[in-house]
Amino acid sequence: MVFNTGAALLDAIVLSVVSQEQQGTYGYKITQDVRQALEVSESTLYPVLRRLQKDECLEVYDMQFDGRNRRYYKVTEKGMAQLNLYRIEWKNYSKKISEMFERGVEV
Amino acid sequence: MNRIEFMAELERLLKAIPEEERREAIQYYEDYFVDAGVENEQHIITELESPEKVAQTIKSGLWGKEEDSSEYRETGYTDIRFEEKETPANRENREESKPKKDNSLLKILLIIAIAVFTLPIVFPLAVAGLAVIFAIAVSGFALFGTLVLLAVVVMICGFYVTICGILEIFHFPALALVVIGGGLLAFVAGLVATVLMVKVCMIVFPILSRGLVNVFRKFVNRKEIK
Repeated sequence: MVFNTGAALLDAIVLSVVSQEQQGTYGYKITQDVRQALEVSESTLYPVLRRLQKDECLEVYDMQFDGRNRRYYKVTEKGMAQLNLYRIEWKNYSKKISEMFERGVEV
Repeated sequence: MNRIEFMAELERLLKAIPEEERREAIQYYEDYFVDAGVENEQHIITELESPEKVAQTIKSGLWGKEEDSSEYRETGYTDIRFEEKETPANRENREESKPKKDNSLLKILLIIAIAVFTLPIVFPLAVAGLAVIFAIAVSGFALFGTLVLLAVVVMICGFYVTICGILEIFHFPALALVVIGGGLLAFVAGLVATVLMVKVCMIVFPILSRGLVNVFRKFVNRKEIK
């Protein structure tokens, strides 16, 4: 693939991945899930998660797992609003681009 | 390098960042290794490349610079500071062009050196500059405040002169009428000027305070980045 992914799109993908888990999800799983759509390296997501957390789009909590504390991420209400905004923006954007490409094919 | 060594090195490299940020980052990567399982340990270390690279990513995220200096590509996270601009024509060569790490390290050292040596000069200058800006802003507030007061005083004087004229109307009718007329004119002029100046203040004060806040905010932000 030749297209680059901007920071906003990555934010949107991460929010979407995290929002799919009602109970919240953790760093390693988020990375694996994001990788289904996008080839990101293992160190890419930490700054993104941390920033989303600071922007109050994500909240974290620690939960016992296998006798240790594991950090979980959960989407906040603000995060959900942001994600919805991203969804709408993406829908419009991708629709316009697709239409433009298809116009090119017909000619 | 195993996981323990990797994490120790990462923790050492993150000494410069705030305690809370370091704890968060270390916890994240500790979790990450454990959740990935021992069998993936070496694979992850290889993919993370080096503690230096991870520390760099954490730090640039911390300073809010990641958005304008990096991109996430299908080939993974790419810090565009580390690579040269390429035209689409030679994209095939991308895999070969390795990030110039030594170069960037040297640059960072140089920037730190410059910062250390210029700090004794730049810092007092910056403080003095801010003080001057602050003084100008305060003078602005004072100037417009004084104008309002002046207008109010003119109004009060006009009112007072009018009263004097009315009191003397039976002794010197002609003179008293002139005085009353002058007093009324002054009162009305003062009233109009007061209203006008208050309106001007309502426009100017917010602009002044906003400008002042912006200047200070810019200064603080720049310092954080440094």
